[in-house]
Formats: sequence, C-alpha cells, structure tokens
Amino acid sequence: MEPVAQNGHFSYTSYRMNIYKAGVSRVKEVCESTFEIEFDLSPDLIEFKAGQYVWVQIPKEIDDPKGNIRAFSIVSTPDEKNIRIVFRKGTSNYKKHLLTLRPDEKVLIFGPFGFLNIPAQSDIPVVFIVGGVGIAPFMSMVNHATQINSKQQVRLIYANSRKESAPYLEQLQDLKSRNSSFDYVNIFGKVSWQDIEKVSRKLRTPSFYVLGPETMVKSVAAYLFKHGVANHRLVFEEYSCSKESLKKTGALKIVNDQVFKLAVQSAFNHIVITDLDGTILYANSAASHMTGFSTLEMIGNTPRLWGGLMNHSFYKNLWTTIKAKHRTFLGELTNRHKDGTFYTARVRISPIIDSANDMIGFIGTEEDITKEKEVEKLKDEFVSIASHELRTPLTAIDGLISMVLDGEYGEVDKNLKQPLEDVNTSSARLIHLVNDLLNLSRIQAGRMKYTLSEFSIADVITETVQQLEPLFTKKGLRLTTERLKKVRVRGDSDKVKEVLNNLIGNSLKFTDKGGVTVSLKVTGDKVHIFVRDTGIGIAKKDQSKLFGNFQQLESGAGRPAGTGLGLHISKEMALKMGGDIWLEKSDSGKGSTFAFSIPKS
Amino acid sequence: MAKILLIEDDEILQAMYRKQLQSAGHQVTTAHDGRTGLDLAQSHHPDLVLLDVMLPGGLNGFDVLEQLKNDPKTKDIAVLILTNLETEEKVAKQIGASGYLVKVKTRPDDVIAKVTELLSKV
Repeated sequence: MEPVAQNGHFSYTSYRMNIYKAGVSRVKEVCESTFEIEFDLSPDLIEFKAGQYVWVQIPKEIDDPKGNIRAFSIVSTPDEKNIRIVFRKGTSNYKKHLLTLRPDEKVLIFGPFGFLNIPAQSDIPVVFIVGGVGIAPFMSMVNHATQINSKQQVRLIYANSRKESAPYLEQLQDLKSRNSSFDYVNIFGKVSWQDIEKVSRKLRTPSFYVLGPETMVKSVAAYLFKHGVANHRLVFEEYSCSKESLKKTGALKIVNDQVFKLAVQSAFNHIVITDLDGTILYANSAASHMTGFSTLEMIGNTPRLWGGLMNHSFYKNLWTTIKAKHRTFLGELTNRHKDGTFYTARVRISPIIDSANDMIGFIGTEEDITKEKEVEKLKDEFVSIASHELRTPLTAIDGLISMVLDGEYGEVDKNLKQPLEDVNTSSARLIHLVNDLLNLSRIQAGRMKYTLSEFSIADVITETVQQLEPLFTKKGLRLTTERLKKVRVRGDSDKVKEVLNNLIGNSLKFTDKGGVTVSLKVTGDKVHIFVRDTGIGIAKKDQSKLFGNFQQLESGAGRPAGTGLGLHISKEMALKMGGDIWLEKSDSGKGSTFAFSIPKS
Repeated sequence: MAKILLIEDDEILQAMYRKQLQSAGHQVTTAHDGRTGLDLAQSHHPDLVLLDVMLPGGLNGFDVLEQLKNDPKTKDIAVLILTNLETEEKVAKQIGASGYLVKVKTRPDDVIAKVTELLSKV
C-alpha cells in the first residue's frame, strides 16, 4: 500500500475498516510465556502492514470480564494472506481460548487500524495522545522508525484508566533516555485540556495524533477543535470493544480521510456529516457560509443549530426514511441563519453505509432555494392575476358576439353568420382555457379552497344535468339520469359540480350519436357516480395517459381538441375531497364510462 | 320595465350590459365606481342593482353592498353581483346579495334571465 496523502508532517495510508474471518494457522512460543499466533485470512487478500493493529474477536461466549475481543499489534505479514501477532500469555480466559483454537474455528478480525510514519525529515513537533491499548500502535510505529529524528520534538501523553495495567512503561523510559527529543507523561484517568496544554505549550504549532477509546478521542477532539487546532494538524483514530462503537467510529474515519477532505471541503453545496445520533462530525465551508456558523461551532453540535423549525411529522418522516428504510430523504425546509434571518433550503440526507453493510452515519447536503421559491411565488401570483385580468376582455368578446348573433345590433348579413359563430366558439374555448390555467395555478400554489358540506348528490346531479341539457339538444343528443338514489355525501358542492361538468362536457365533445347517462351507486362508505356515453371511446393504449397534466390524445379526424387540463384538475379535486376519479370502461368505437367517488356523509 | 342601476368600471362591459338590459326593456343608469353608484342608488331609487366587485376609487363591490344594506332607504333594493371572482358567492350572500353571477361564465341571455327572476321576487 502506498501512502495516499502527505500533508507535510504526516504521511499515512488511507484505509477502510474491514471484517475478516480467519483461522489460526500456527502457534509458536517465541520465548518464555510469549506467544506468536499466525492467522490465515485467505481467501481474502489483506491490506495490513506490520505496525498496524487489529481487533480479534472470538465468536463465542468466554468467561472473561473484559469480553471476547482484544487488540493486537501486527508484528509481520509473512505473505499477503497471513498476519502474525505476539502477546504475553496472561491469566485471562480470552488468551487461553486464543491459544487453544483449532484451525477450523474461525475468529473475526477487525482492522486495520493505525499506522503512521514519523517522517525522517520533518521538524514539526508532534504530540501523541494515546489511551490504553492505543499504546501498541505507537510502539509499533516507534519501533519501525530507525530513531526519532533529533530535530523533531515528539511528545506522548499516555492515558490509562488503571495505574497498574500500563504496559510498555519500561520501553517508554528506554526510548526517552535514548532520544533527547522525546518525552512522555503517564496519566491516570481522563485526559484534560490542562494535560494537553502543559505538554504542548512549549512546542511551536504541533500536530496531534489521537488514538484511543471512542470516549477519549471524542473529548480530546472537542478540546482541540475548541482551542482552534486546525483540521490539517489533527488525526484521530478510535477503537472500541463493541461492534456498535466500531460502527460509530466509521464515520469519523471518513471525515479524517485526506482525500475526502480535499474533495468535499471546497464543494459548492453545504455538506455536513453526522454520526448515527446526529452529532456533526464535519461541515464544509459552504455549510458554514450558508448557515452562518463556523465549522468549530457546528462540530459536536447537531443540525438543530440552524434547523429544527419544521413540524413534528416532518422530522418523523425524515428519521423513518434514513434510519428505518436506509433511503435518501429529500425535502424542503426552513432554516435560520446565525444572524437570525430565515431561508428556505432543499435538503438531501443519506445514510452512510460501510463495506460491512452497516449504517455508520449520515451525510446531508443543502441548497439555498429561497430565491427559487420567491420566483415560484411571483410566477403563481402572476398567472393568477393574468388569468383574472384576461376574463374582462373575454367576457366582452363572448357576450358581444352572442348579442350580435342574436340580432341585438340589427340583422346579421348571412355571409357574416358563420365567421361570427366561429368567433363565438373560439371565445368559449378561450374562456375555458383561461379557467383551466387559473385552476391549475391555484392547485399548484396549494390555494384551492375547499368548503366541505353535506348535501344530496342527486340534487347536484339533477341541477348540472338541467344546465347542460340545452347543449345536448342542440347537438341532437340525449342527456339523462337513472337510478338517482337519495343519498347524502360530504364534499365541496361547487367542486363536485365542476367535476360533473368536466365529465359530461367531455362526453358531449366526443359523442356524435346517442347520448350520455349519469347514474350513481353506493359502495361501502363512498358514493360512485358514473357518466356513460355512446361516443367514440378511448383506445386501450391511450388510457394510461388520461389524468396526467396536459395529456391530449392525438387528434384524429373529427376528434375535437381540448386544453388537456380538465381531467387532471378533476382528479386533484376528487382526491382532495377524499374520493377518486377513474375510467371505468372504454374502448375504441365503444363509448366510455368515467366514474368518480365521494365519501358518504 | 324596471329601473336598473349598473355599477361596472370597464367601459366596454358597461356598454354591453346596458344594451342587453335596454333590449329587454329596462331603464338603465350607470356608474363607474362605488361612490357614484351609492349616490345614484339614493337619488334614483332603482329596482335592482347590478354590481361589479373589483371597482376603483377605494370602495369595492362588497363595501357598496354593505352600505346599501345598512341604509334603510336602499336596503330593500335587490342586488345582483356581476363579477369574475369565482370564490366569493357565500360571502356576498351573507352580506345580502340576492344573486351572484360569474361574468365570464354567463351569456347575455342568462344575465337577463336572472334579472327577470330577481325582479319578479320583489
């Protein structure tokens, strides 16, 4: 493995944590009570190097208070499928088990973790803050370097929860006596900022490498960020005994990956990465710019810092999508900038899944769409106003032509009759189109008002039929009703009339002989209304397009044109009232039966 | 045969409705705005008022309707709202309008039919 990135004072490899199944292939006692175990990881090709460490988990119940997983440093990798670890035999049951495993009894190996070269030429001071077993990789590292570069000041803060169980103390003392540029301090208990400050204060802008249990790394990271240590001078590694915490550390590893940082830091959109609890691990500069909070303010906090303004069900939906369904959530929400102003953002939140298919965190991107929304609102208002303004001249054209044709302004020259009638038909269609546009813009803006009431559906049908009858008579067609049971429904009576008008009007348009019948049927808690015609019908292949926006069937010979919005608007209305609309039956040349439903009252 | 007050600010529509009403035999007085309309209602005692809603000059049709209904001298005059606003019928009826027609959806004969119907109820 080649180093993927170098940032001047650290060179390290980018790695991915993997889980391997391995069997013991050799056990050797190298000296008094010191054993070397070789694990065979085939058929996987490993990406491990000596000096890194791994966690070895024995997958069965062993009676050991520390559990069934331990960390070991890799001493060597004899070929690409084996790793060798060395440990001193102790009294723990875990180690006893490890030494008595049969080759077919597989263990789980998690890793690799931790590998750093202390570069030979660097003179940037380095402070290692290491907790517990984290000392193992530190020692591996040191042992692999020929010596600590005398120009480079290296400090070690070695934290242990129990004084007695601090291994490697002898080696550390030895290292110190051999290298005047190395010093260490052994701390019992939690690492405090004072400890860090004391060790690093005499060093000129040191870099920090933190390795240890999750809790330790998180708290040290918090101090370092708070005290303004720049991102490029920090490297973190976490490890923990439980698979749960191993999962949690995954996201932190990603955000510390140098390649990731390069790619994401200067991205155009606000990008934020959180762990599974929603704690922000990383935020790019676009995020900082958009929210008004510095990355330092955001890290360790949650996105509620600038959000949290939506209603309860919004967040419920969000978490269900990303956590339960492991899917990307896409939505629009209102945010509050640090300076108090509000803005609208389109947000996409996705779960981050690692190579073991576990969810390890979330990545969220946001786009400021405040301007976009404003333009949309203006557009809606414009369409609304324009549609309304159009009505005045349309009323005049339609009304006056009707009056001229009725002889109000004197006898009409027979040559003028047809063209004037054509103008009349056209203006009626234009009025219809403007109405549809207005309705559509209202629906899109969510401003269609529904006033629900209880009424007799039979009455509404009868009324509508009465109003439309003259149009049918003019065309020589029938418009009838049958079986109009007395039943009350719940809905907006005006909208129901509009839907009926639309369906009956469509039937009228597409029927040349026979007529249209309206009937109703009570089905469960709804009332179904049917509009059946003996018209030209709709071919099977065209039926799926009926209720979409601006859907118009190809006009064949004699097929009248429409705006294509009527059925779409009717569908919106039916749905909003708790019902639906559909094509019950139809085929080319065989007439059509449309139906819509409305809840019984 | 009746006295009708038409309050409509669009010139062309005003002329159109006036012609329709005169053809049907009615006497028509017109106004372009609410203030003038209210004054004419007081002075001319019409049998029916045809009232647009979007009017210039600070008083809209609903303001005019309210004032007509609040004044004992004019409260019994039937008012037919003639507007292109579709959504205000219930409000208009609550304030006291006797009828509500959407201009763009009502052909001339239908306007006359409604006028006749309302006059017969007086």
